[in-house]
Amino acid sequence: MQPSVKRKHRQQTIRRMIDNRALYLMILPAFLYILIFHYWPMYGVQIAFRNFNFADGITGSKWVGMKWFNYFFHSNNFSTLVRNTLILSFYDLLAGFPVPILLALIMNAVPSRRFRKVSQTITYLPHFISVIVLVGMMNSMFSVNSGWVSTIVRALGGTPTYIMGEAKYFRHVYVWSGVWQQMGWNSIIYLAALTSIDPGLHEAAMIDGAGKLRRIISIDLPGILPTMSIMLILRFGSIMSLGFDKVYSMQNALNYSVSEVLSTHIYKMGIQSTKYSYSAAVSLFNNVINFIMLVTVNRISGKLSGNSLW
Amino acid sequence: MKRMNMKRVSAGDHLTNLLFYVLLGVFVVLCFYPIWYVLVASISDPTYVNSGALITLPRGVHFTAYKYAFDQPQLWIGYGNTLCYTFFGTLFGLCVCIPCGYALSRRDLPFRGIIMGILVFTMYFSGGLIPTYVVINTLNLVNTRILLIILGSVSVYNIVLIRTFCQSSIPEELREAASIDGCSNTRFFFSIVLPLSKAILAVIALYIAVHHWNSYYNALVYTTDTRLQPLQLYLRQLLLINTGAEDLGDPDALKEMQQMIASIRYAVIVLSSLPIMCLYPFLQKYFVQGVMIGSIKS
Amino acid sequence: MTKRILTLALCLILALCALTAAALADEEPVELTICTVRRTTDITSSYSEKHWVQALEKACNVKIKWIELLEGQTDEQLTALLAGDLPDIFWAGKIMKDSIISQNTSLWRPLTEEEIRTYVPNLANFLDENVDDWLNFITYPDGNIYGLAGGKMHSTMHTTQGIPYINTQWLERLGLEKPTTMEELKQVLIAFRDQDANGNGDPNDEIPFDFCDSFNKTQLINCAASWGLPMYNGGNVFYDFDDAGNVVGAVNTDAYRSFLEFFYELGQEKLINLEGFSQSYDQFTANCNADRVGFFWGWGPCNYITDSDLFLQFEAMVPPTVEGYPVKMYTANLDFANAFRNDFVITRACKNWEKALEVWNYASEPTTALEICNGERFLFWDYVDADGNFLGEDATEEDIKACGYRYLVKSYDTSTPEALAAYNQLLTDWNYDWLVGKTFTGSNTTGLVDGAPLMLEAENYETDDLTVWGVQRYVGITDVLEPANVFCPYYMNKNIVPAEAQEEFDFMTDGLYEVIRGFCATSVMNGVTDESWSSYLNDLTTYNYDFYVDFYNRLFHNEL
Repeated sequence: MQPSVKRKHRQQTIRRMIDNRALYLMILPAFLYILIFHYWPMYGVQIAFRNFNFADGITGSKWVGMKWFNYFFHSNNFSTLVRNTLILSFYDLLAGFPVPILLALIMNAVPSRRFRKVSQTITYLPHFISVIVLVGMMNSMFSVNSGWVSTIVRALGGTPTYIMGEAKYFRHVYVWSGVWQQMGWNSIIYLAALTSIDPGLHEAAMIDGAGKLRRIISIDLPGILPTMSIMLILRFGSIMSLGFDKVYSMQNALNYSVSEVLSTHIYKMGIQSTKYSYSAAVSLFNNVINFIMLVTVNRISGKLSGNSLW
Repeated sequence: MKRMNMKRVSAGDHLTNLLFYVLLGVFVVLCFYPIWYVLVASISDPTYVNSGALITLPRGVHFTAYKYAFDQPQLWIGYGNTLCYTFFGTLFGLCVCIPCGYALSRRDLPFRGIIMGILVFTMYFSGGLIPTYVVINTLNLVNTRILLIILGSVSVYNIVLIRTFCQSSIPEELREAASIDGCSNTRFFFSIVLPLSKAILAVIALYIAVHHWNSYYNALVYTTDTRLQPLQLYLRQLLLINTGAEDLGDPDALKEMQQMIASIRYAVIVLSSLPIMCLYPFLQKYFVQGVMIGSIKS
Repeated sequence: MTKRILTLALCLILALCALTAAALADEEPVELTICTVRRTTDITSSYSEKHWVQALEKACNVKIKWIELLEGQTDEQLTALLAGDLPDIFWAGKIMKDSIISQNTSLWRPLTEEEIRTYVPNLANFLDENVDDWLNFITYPDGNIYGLAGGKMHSTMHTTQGIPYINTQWLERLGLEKPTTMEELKQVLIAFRDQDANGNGDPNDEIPFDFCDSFNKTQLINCAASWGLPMYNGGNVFYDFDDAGNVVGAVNTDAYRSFLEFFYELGQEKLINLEGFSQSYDQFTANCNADRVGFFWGWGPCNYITDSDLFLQFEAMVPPTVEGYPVKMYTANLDFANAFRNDFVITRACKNWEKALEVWNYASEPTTALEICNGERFLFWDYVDADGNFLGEDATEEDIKACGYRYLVKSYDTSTPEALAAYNQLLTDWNYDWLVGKTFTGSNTTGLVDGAPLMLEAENYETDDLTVWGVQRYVGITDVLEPANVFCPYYMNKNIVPAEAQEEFDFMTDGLYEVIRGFCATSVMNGVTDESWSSYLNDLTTYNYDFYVDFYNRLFHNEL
């Protein structure tokens, strides 16, 4: 590019920045917050490369480089942990992503406003039940000895299965109970997005004779596509960060082979065994994978649908 | 554009509606059951609750659980704190996140991509518990209410959602038209963007409020003064005691606690979830169609 | 003249000021920051409200600022404390693990034996008379003493972990004898399963043998004691001792395989509740309370069952024998049974360590220590003589010493609602834990039982009243198990693991426990085949089981 063109560009940019100085002011508080509470502590990432102890502090502890990462990568459990985490996460995503969208579309489409409001309120309630309580409730319900689900199954002539215990059911119970609990809550953002769809489009389509189903598919769905893309990108970006509470509550001696995931490992090795550096290293590994996933999916989404994070 | 009165509904639409009602009905029943279970469990004898004998109706009804729960001073202290943190935290979070999200949605803003990247980066990389604590300790914010109000109110996730919403529902033409009329950025934001964004405002307010209401981690780590502790922290105590997550080592103590806690656990769950569950219906009225959008098209 | 008078007056005033200052300086209480753990059921909002704390502050002229961590969630809070401003003292033996001390030695102020004897004579004298080897117990591999121990030094109750209990009422109803061998137990369990053992008319609602895998005292792996394998899941104890006192492997033996196969059969015949692997502690206790369980391993029936009529039906029994194998139960060394090595740790942030030691000395006086642990003397507990009678208010120092500092907690009648309300009121008036429930005959009320500053002589449960909490278990241990000579004598490691060795151990055994527990569970569920057994042995080798066994061998022989 010609230097004079470059100069002109720069001048234009500066001009635009000055014109929009109010916007920068709007960004400032959030930016400061992030700077103070997220970037300042980031110097502590080096704990993963040191042999941290409280006496020497973060900067005074001995530097060990990739020692913890090597331990982790060469540990017997490494592939199991990563595999379990990824499988559970992907399964959760595949099952849990479409259902809230479906729910939002249906709730938006039912004619009765009263029913819509009631259903919106009720479906989002399970989100507030702590997972520990939910797991306890499922244990009660599905108990082979005394749960009412089992009683019904027996009354219908079947034999109840031990779904809360055995390894082969673990993933299914984990994922579908999550869908059940979160679908209402996750549909809220889609409902909000649906409100910004021009009702004129619907009217025009109705005039053209399109049925409700047709209208939903051709108007509502594309209308919330930007929201869907961003939610999907963000979901992918937390693929490795499987929550700890639920897995830990559902874990038992029968299902270690599928329920040992990175977060339980970090918990046992980290806080419980006071291996701060090691757990920092595993967390860092976690985050790097998440970030790579995010960037990749973001780029793909940008190319496919024009929606991306940046 | 005139509105056409559509009185005739086609047969296909009837079928679709029926299908939707059935599906939605199933979802509603499924989602209601855990709430009902918790409500019923809170007024039932704990033995029935744990033995799976509880299906739909309370067994061994007694309200003593609630009575004992109300007697606990820590419950009320926690309630007060949680209300305070939730209210002020939501206010703070909205004031900080909404403008930021809007500003970043403007495609004509130089360097917005970089700023977005800087913010998003922090969603994935953080120093962790120890350095964050050191920083907060250096700022002398340990054991303060201010910290519990502002920490967690600003989340990049929310900013991204706001940005997405603004990008797709506030058209650029509107903005250009307004600037031609001499409207400044600030005025545009307050008089046009905010009214149009009621839905996302409601959602973000809900997200921040619920996040604060459910949060215990920040209080756990950054406060040791029991007078500052929120309700969820207290509730977590009750839940954790019995999951076997902690082998207390001293079974002598476990027995006493187990009896007491078994009977009040569900009552405290109900008491701690009820207020926030009631928030959504109030916000629902903001989920209405954006009225002005249609008029812009012409 | 006036000048002279003025000068004199000035001098007098100055002298007065100096005197007052000196006097005040003496009286100014020393400020100490103490970190401890707070019980969930504690009704006070801070330790400073407790009576014993106020008495201690007055006696030692200190002003204590308490930092109270929430029990069950202490990990993150402790991390934050250590990263931030250190308190002067940590009075929290349960959470101050050896590894935290070893990894951060420069955070603590080490004590010397001389200092202990000079400043904490109460403790030193008591321990010298009653406990062997206590100095060694608190000395770290680098030769320093970082903290003083607390908790129960001798404890019959903590001799072992879970013990077997059987419902004798059920046995009587079906005309059966207490089983002594595993085969007999199996027959008894079959009878429980098929017949109406609990007398409610329904022969199908009994669970012959129940357990809860997530709760260490009731776990299935305890039962390997009948095959001579004294294991305890809670302490990750998966090894055995040979006759020479060397540590050998336990989970790779034929005895273990035979144990798994036997329990697989039990599971197949529905004699054990296979749901025990996933059921919660609440569900387990609910089953017990509903009178559906005939046999279980656990701490004590009164822990799981609230109705005293019901829990009295249970009796401890010797683990049933298996032909060809001895019975060996996991045993905790009696001398340090429930003690916390690092109960009282002085940090380098403490400016007045003599005062800190004075506090501990005050708290180490036997009666004071018991009051901190159990509440006010005469009101909640008292010393007892050899016949189990309370010594009363007239008891002298010699009487107390003669009885060996043995005490008994007073039990209050709580059978009627009025009585229970009165008892709760008593506890509330004295600012103790708040309780609800049908009966309470607990052993502590202040929440610091785990951090009681003294190693206490064994609780005296020589009473005939089995409904008093803990007596059933005590009787079970002393009358049933000890005479049967089933306790393996070598257990309860007293030696401290050095920091590097601990790190090596943690990384080498990463995943090992999941392999062991997982195989136990899946084998009982699905059976053992030759392939699954050999693949398991391979896994054990991959996950360094041999290193694990060798490590413990070196630890017990103090060769680490």
